[in-house]
Amino acid sequence: MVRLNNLQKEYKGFKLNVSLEIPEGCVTGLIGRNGAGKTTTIKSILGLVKPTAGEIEVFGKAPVELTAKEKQQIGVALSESGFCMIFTIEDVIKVLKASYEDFNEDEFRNKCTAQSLPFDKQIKDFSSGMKAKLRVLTAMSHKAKLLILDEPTAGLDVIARNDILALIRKYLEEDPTRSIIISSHISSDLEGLCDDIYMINDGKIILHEDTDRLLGNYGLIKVSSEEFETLDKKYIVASQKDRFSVTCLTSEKQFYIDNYPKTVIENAHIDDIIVLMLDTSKEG
Amino acid sequence: MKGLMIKDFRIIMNQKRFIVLYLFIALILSFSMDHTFIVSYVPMVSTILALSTISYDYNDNGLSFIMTLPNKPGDYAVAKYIFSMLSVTFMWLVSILLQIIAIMIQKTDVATSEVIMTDALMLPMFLLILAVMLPIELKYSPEKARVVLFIIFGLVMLIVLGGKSIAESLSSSGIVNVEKIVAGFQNINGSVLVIAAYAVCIIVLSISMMISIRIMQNKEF
Amino acid sequence: MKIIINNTSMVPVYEQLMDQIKQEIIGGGLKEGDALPSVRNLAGELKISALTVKKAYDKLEEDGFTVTVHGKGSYVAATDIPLALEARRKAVEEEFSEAVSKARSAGLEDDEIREILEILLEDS
Repeated sequence: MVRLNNLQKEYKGFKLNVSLEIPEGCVTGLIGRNGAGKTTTIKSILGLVKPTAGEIEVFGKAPVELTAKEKQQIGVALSESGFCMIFTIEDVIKVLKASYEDFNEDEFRNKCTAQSLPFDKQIKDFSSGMKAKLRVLTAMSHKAKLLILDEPTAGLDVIARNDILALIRKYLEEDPTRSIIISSHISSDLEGLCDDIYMINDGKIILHEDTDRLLGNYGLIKVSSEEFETLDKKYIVASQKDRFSVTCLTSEKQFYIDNYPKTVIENAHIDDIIVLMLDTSKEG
Repeated sequence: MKGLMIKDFRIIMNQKRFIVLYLFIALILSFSMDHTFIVSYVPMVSTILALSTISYDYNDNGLSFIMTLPNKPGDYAVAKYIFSMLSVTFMWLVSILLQIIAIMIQKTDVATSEVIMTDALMLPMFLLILAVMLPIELKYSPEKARVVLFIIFGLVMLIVLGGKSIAESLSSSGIVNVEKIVAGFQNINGSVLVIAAYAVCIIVLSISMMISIRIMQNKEF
Repeated sequence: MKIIINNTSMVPVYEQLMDQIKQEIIGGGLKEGDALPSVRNLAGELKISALTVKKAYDKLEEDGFTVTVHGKGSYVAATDIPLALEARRKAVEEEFSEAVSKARSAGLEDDEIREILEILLEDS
């Protein structure tokens, strides 16, 4: 559905160069620090910024060449941009109805009510949780085949985040051919949702793995400095020394479970992976 | 594109208080002032409102999201033109209605052909203002463009209200013989002048719209 | 159907899923012809990646427990449950026999071995 081939974009002091692919029916996570390039990548996919070099394909075409009808299949939620602040939900409904053929007004109303969104207030008077929910519901309101969500849960408390993730899961269940690109710096949200994850840092992809492998095969190994010297590094991806021990990231924890039975081995979460990988790439 | 125009309509509807105030002022002024004033005042408000939709779009980075709606980039420009032309034309018709009511109530004597011609020339004037302002507002930020807008409106108001006295002072100072120019204009058949005005208007609007479409296609959001 | 995923376990999630579904099938909770939840549905409920569920479903099919009809979903296969059960019983018997020989060669008496077994059974 979406393919980026050596997409390059240059700004002052920042250079993006990424390649990625999102097949049909796939939920892909884009994770990275603030300023790493997530939003630039997403804006490139949407045709909001134009590449300096490289190819972008969405539904087989360059984003700027998509017809208005093809764009109906894309649902978007941007983190810092949405409907006019003086709009109420009624205004939003009128605009969505006039824009999207497959907009389902009753369903949208019901979902807004279910999420306790106020119908009589202007968006500028919404809480940040409400604004975020409105953006996500807007993206999902017209049966789009491709959802592009830029930091949909940023700045929200855990309950609001869970509400939004639940909405996204339900959306996927309704039609398994739908694809989602979701960017975030809250990796726990992505762990329970995405099929695969791209880690982006400083404008480059530093890791691309199936979530299943990240959670099932990756692991953290904690050893002393001496043990680290003699450790078989075949599957060690990164390591971090501190005063009392060395923490290693492995992509095959079963190997170390089998061969180093007495060693402390833990499941790795995406946050751990990020910290260890970025630490290495700093030195590297 | 329909969605974009509905959006603009809803933006204006959300400014009801502003609109009511201005219409109220219009009603009061129309009874206390020269009745030609209405036909310049009401479309002026409409032009300002139409252009204000661009400010609202640009606020809070909203343009990025708007461009993800199912439209081609140029559609944003086209929708703005259609919307503003329609709303200014509509308000121009409303103002003529108000003018007729004011004339009937005031029972003033009216040089009908002169009034018709002045009214008829008002519309192209405002459409030309749109044609100039729209590309400027789209290319540069609405805030910067607003300064240009106020200068233009200042000039328009000056001409409409003080046209006669300016003309007289210009003539008496000998710089320009305004009377000769005006006489020259009056020699031209009135309807030819009006037709020419509308023709120029259409041409300028078309060029302006093409420029605006280009601006939106090349912009980054 | 009951499925409980232990996120802190070293056993990969897809394996836990596989085992638990197998248990349901063997235990009769899932009968022949019953439909398994759709991949997306199960992934959403368990809050895990759809690929993980797909992996488990694929392996279940490989082992003969389920049959996937393309476009429709996965169904419990007409496996010979007694045979599968029998095979598992045999495997358990073998492991017991190994444990017993180890215990005996460590010098444990039969009564002590029974005691250990009792304690283990009580604990779980």
